[in-house]
Amino acid sequence: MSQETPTQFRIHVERHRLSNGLELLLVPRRELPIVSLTLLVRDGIAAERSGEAGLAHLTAVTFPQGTRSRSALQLSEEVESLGTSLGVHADYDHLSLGLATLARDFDAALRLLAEVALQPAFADDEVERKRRDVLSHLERRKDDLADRVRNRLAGTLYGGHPYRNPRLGSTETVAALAPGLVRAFYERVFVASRSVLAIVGDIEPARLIDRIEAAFGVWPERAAPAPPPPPPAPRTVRGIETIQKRGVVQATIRAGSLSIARNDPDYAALQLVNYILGGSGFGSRLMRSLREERGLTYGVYSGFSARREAGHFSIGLQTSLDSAELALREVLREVDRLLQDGVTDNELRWAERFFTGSLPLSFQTNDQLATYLLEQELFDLEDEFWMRDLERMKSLSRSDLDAAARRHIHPEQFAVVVLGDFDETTPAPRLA
Amino acid sequence: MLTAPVHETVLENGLQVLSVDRRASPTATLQLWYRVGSRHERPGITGVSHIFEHLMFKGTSRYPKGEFDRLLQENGMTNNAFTSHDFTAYYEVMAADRLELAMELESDRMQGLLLDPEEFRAELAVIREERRQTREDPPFGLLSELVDASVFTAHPYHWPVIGWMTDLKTITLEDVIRYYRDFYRPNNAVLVVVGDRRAEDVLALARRYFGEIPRGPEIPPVLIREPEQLGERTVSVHKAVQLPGLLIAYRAPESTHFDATVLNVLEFILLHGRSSRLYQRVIYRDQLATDVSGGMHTRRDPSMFTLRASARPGVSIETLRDALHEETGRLAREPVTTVELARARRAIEVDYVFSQESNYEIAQNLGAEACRSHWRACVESLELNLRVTAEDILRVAGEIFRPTRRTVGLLVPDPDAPSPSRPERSREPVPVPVQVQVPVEAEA
Repeated sequence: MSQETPTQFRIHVERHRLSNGLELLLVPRRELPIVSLTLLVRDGIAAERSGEAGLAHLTAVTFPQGTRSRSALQLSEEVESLGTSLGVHADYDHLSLGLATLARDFDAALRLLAEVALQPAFADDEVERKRRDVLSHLERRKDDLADRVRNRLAGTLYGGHPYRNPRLGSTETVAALAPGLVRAFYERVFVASRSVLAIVGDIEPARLIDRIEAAFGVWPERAAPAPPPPPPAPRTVRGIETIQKRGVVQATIRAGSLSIARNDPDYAALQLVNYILGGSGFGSRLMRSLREERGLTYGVYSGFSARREAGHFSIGLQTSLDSAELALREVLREVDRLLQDGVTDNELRWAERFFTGSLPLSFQTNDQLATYLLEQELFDLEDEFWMRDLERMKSLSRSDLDAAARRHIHPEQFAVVVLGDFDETTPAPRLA
Repeated sequence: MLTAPVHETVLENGLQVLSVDRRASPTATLQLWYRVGSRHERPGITGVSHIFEHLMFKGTSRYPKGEFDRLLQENGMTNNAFTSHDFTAYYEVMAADRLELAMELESDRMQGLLLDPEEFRAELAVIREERRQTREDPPFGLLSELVDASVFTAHPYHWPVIGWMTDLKTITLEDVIRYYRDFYRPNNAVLVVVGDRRAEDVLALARRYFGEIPRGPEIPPVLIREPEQLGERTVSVHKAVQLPGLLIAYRAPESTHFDATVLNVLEFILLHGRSSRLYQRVIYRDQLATDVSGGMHTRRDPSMFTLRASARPGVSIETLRDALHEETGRLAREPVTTVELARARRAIEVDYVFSQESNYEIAQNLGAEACRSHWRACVESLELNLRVTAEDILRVAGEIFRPTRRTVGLLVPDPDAPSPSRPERSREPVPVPVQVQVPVEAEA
């Protein structure tokens, strides 16, 4: 087979900065008469203070509930008359608002996005309504087994750092959030000079700057929020926690430890390591061992969370209750084997070729492209980091990967969380 | 109204080849669709279509197990497969210059699959875990199976695509081999390629890699039709969940019927966006539900239109159910407004244009329609949707949203509810006591 796939994936980005510091990334793509607008602010859940878990999410979901000039229903009707809907998202290191429309509706979309971002109503009754929504979602999520295990693991790993906060917060914290906190949080994190507006699609950048200035130039100056506390010290021991949940037929397991920040120079090496261990679907070591050879699970995956401060590495799977201990043992055995024996030449070659060969697949849609650009901004990565990462991958040797794995994957510090319906005949798994 | 034309050729052995040449990015998607799904199964081997989807990754004499994955990895290709009621499909997504490899791998496993008894047994264990993970533990999994089984009493849509747990223990390798011989034939398949390759290249590769595979016997049509429903059906599942849930299904027509398109437009008005009727009623105004979703189940044979919601803490399931019935009843009594219809049309148009962004999505729509009726249906769908009027919606809502066409499924929180399947003590496939499936099969 030919190996001629372009490894050059250049994106023509026009960058501008408005007078208030808002950064613009404009990318013309003319294949279809559509355009995506995404506004990203560089603070999110990590900016929640003590007792505020869930405030970033509550703020995000309250944006669609009205502006100074439109009620919740009027705003929805206006946005949805364009055939789209307002996307809102709160993540650990950012908040975002987005609209994707036909190019002919660009002006209306731009005006609406600016209105939502800069003149949110955050009326007390609407904040209260959304708070009740979130509380009922939290109740429903108690049946989302993977979510519960993920949250417990983060709570254990991050100690007092806000990265421990569940995305939606908890019943206790959300119940205690006063309506005024939403506006206060918004004013704390919505800082023009820490924000990026990315517009990708059927546009002519030169003709847009004035219109964007008119829409977003009125964003008032605000001070940047205090940086979040430094991440906690890593654990020194391995430990296991059990969540008892009646009536379930599987054990849901997740094991992990604190690891690197997204902009760590070892990130490229660890992407390869993770691909080999548990990031590549059917071909990964974990999948071969637990699914293909032993039939223990439908799927097992590993991954690094991308965070501005320290993220974490974790491995998750679901298996029958009576297989939980065996499955956990096999997971830990594969991690130990990776750290002791390292990767093989073939594994390194296949993984590197996968990333090289699949690069074009990552830039098919406007939203995919915007995601890459915003990731670059959010984590202060090098220009066109996706190509720099590939160059780095090509230059890495087996011993580079092995060293990176040993530096950043720490099974001796693993926290393990297991959820299931355990009893005397089917006891919860223990660590050997 | 695709942005690029669809090229169609049927090879002598019956393989239908569809391609769309798109230059938007140097990528391509190959999808190989087989016109076989759970619709073609029978009791005792339910789930065989999906089992087979798993077995297709077990290797051939030319590319033994593991080699397939390795080649895809090395070439930066992603791949997977999916099974539905009406079809089973396999796909590769790749840089466009890797298309030939995907062709070769798919043609190789259309005929040359190795079916090893040990592999088969191990894979059944994986699928039972998949069933536990996706059907038995999620709150709505077993309820939705029970509702299907109650809506369809005679038609094979009665059983779940993943199959009943008992069949996943007792099905034999012989059952599976017979199935492969009968259905994995070029004359029962559609090859779809969308991306940066010329139609002539696609066709030349298709001839080279599939042209020699012999045509199989014609597949006998599935003639069974679900009898008329004569009264409202109510079913329930008790489960250790936090919130009561509701799944309401109305009998609805097959994908080629114009009324299915009318129901698609109605779905937007009822369920899409914060301005939709059900969001406004049960989430925003009355605050009865945590979420509401559903819509038209587009299938080859007559199927259903569903609504699904979870009640908020403190709200009774009956109150939520009555509110949903009231809103569907209103659609059957009063025409939707001009503004609502215009908003739905615009959303459908925008969705359609955005669906043209990805090779995968274009191929997906072409393949699904080719299996259900004709690929042209997805080219014509936008125009057809835009033709739907308020009168159409009033008429169809009046016909569909009747209590006698309805099945109401209730998810009842019950901390003492029995587990659907306790752990297997042995890895041997053993016949399972009837009680294991009671919540599902008692109503079947």
